Amino acid sequence: MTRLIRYEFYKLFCKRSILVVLILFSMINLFKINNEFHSYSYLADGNDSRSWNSVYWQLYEKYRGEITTDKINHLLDLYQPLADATADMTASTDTDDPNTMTGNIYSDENILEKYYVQPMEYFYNYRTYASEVAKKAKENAAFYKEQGLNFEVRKNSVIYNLYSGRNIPAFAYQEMYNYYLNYDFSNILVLLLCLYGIISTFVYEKETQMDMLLLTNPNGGKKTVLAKIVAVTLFVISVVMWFSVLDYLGFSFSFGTMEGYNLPLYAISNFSAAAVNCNLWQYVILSAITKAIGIWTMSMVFLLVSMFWRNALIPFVADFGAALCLIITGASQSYSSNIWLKIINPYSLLTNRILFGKTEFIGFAGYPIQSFLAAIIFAVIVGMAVITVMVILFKKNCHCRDRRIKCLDSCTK
Amino acid sequence: MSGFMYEIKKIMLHQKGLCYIVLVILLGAIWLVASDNPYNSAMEQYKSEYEWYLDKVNGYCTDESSLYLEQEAERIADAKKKQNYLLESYYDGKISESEYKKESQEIENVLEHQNGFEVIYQQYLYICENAKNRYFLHTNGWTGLLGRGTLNFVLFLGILLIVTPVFCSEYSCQMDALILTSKKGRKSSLHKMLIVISGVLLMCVSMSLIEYGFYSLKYGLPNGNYPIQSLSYFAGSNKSITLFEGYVYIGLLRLFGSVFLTILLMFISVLAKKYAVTLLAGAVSVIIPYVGLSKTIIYRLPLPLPFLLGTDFFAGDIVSSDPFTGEEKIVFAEIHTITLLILFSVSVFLCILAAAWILRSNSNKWQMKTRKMRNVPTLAIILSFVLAMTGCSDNGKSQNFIYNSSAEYDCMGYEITQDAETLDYYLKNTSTGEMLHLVRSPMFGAFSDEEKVCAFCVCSPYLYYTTSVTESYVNRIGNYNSSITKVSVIELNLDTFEEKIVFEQITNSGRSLFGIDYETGDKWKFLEFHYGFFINDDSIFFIGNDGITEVNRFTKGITKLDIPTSGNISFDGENIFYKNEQSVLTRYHVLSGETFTYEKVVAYDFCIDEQSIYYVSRTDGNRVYSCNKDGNNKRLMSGTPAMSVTCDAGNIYILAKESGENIVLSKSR
Repeated sequence: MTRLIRYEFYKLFCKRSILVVLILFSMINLFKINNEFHSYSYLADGNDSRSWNSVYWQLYEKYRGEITTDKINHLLDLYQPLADATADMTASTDTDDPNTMTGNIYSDENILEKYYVQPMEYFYNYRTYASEVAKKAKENAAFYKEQGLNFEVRKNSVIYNLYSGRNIPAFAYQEMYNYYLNYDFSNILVLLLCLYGIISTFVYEKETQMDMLLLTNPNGGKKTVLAKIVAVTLFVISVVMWFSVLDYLGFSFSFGTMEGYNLPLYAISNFSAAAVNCNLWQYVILSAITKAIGIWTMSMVFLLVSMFWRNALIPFVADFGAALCLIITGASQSYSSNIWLKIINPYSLLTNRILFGKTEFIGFAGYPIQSFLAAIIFAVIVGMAVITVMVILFKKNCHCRDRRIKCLDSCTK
Repeated sequence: MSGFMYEIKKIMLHQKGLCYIVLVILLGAIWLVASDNPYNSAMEQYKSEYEWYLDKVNGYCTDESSLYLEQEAERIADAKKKQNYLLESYYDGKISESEYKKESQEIENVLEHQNGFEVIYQQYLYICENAKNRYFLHTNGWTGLLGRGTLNFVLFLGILLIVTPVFCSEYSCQMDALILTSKKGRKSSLHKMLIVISGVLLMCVSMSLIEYGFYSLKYGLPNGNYPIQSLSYFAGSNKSITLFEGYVYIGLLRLFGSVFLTILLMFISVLAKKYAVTLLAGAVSVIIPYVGLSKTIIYRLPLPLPFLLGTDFFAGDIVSSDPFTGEEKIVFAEIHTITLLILFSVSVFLCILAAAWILRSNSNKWQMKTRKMRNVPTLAIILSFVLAMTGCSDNGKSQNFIYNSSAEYDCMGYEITQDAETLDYYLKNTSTGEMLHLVRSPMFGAFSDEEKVCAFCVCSPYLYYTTSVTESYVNRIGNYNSSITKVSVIELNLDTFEEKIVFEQITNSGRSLFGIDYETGDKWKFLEFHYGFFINDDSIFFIGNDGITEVNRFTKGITKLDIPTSGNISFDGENIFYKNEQSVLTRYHVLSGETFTYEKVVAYDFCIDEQSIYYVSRTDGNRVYSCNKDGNNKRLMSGTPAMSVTCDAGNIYILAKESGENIVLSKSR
């Protein structure tokens, strides 16, 4: 079976066209990531001594690491006079002021506010915010216990356990991760590449009428279809992992740093109510695994659709249309409080900040399940169900039963 | 039958081309009808009033129209002031009824079209920015027709379906070699190209005409000879074209875009000879630049995409201010006519080259010569094309309940209070004094100030409240400026303290999907400004300063009710009670839409309970009376002149006019 899987993998995916598309998409992805940095980061203004980039990294050495009262006071001593001077908008607008860091007093105030004061304030206050949430959750749990609502008691207990003890003790650069966690473009590339790779899995053999020939082989039929499914799974996982690594490295190279990887996920303000307690580097891995599950489920559906056609036309357009529908509905429902809509749409697993960014639950037999967990379980169940359907529907090699083969073997011997 | 007819039969019938064309036109029309929202909903809502003013100023904004609108604005402002004064004078007995009626008639004439005036005045302010090329006209039709800068996915998928099999089907069964051996082999590919291009053109023209017909019927497309800058979408455009010319040009560009995509697909299919590669290359050539590149770059690429979009070739510069540094950034740079012509010429040239390649590749002689080279240019040309892209709720729940917008909330033994410091809302148990958080989610408002409770409505055993949540993601100008405001109606069961969201809606008109910005119309904007609401089984009624908006809970259909919201609004599950503009108590039946005026009840303030109406009589020395819901059985409740009256299950609460004292009266008195 391992050999059959290997053959199928080589046959289906070790093709020049797939390699070309993979290289091409990787290049496009890197261009896009680089463009993200230059379009959106305020630190993409060069290496001049008065650029924000230079000033930020000069100051960074002073404030990085554990947040202490000294650091906060030092920062406020630097920031407050600037804030006071610019409050009434009557300060000088000169861009070559020698008494400033960036050449302009407003610019100094802006860089300090955006890159130091706001994040450090958020980091410092997060512990209080989180303990408030934990306190409310504890009160809720006690209250619902009196009411006899077990689901709510359990849900609030989970929230209490999740939020109690949350703390951001150290200050670090987190802009790169902010953009990285909001980057979706590579998902489109992965989807298109997987669609292209998968679409010919069954169609290729039908076009060349190899499917009929395969049925006469002892390894044809069920074994072949299983080997194809495993090969597709390996292909999909490889592609997702490749693009996840590429995204991370691309962002790190474009932004010029990997600083901040040890910060907790909730250090990114969009993830303040994160569903998991993990570090950013752990989340990068978690996100890649979740994406792989989402793409795998979609790929199995693509594969099922392609089973029924003799050429790639209808399955490609149908799958592409279905993927577009899932993307559009998934994106439009990403802000919705209807958690089930997010769970049943595999797109949520691709842009998984929708699931991991909020602490949301669904009830199952009176027990609360976090939305990301439910979405993963649902996607795996759908994927397995689709595989079962494919195995059932695929033509059996009834003309070539094992017994008959053995008989023929013994005769020839 | 000629070879041409055989090709038609093959493409249209055997390859189901005709079926796809019909399907695309049908789906396109359904999507158009289902997804359309008026760009300016007030213009539709007060159409007749707006058109009354439009008839007077239609067209170029002359000094006379300008003067007329300024004077009308003053007249309306004065009339509103005078109306209040007149009403006060009449109820205070300073003027007689006949005098009041005479003067109020004049005022009503002035205010008859005031809602429409608000709309035309906004348009006037827009026109004043550049009166030379901005005209007064009804804009919703033209904005819908021209201002859709998004890709038509149905058409795109349709083109993929129709074009891809034309050559690929021949290659998949190796019919191509057979055709090449025939006398008219080369003609066959020419026929194929002509048939497919004609089919695609037919599809595009039909869709374009359907769009024109739809907007013409739904909103009207008047004054096609007015400058395109009359629409705010094209505000900064430097191109001197009219609206109708704009429609024709955009339509022609889209036609060309479709033909370009068709030729590109055929070209790739001839090179690659495989369905999957052709489809992938076609999809990638459109989708990747669409989601990956900024509009400014897209509209400068010799690809089918800019022509398929079309609209922004005629739009002006779009400049946004960075919310943080205040610097201005060009989000979209206008395409100059010369750039457009160069881009068009290059694209036409590419199309000609591709068509020539297709024809040559189906020529026997050439085919023999270059067979060895077959696979190399395939990948090279796909690579160059893609590189070009990268370059740059249960029945019966709310049947018996009473809502008074001005009342304090006493719900099933709980009182709603707000903490003065944290601004959090609490439910205070009136018997034990125990305080519970109103919003049950521990995370609500913990990390953001943009999460707040807006309004309440009690319908025993449920307490409904609305929340407004604003979420901002990577907040910089450009594609990533994704900030959304969401208004939700939450049902809290006060017996079990279980929560459920019964309604939810994003209110922003601008949305962003994978960096593609699009507009959804301003129809939900009113939710951001509501200060009260009430609910029944079918609808939710949101109270804002400009009236009450009814939202169907199931279809999300919106109806704006002509009910002034200057005073208390009451609801008994079937009827909305309110004071009309003359302060006369009025009842509106929500199912039938019928209005009943209580002629004898002129009130400063009022409230209702299940049986009675309590009101501060304006015509009777501000004393507090009660009457039945049919207006009969008038009874004096308090002889003390009052400012306001509210009630709960057992008591009536009166605010004395002179002393400012709160007086509590028992209903059973």
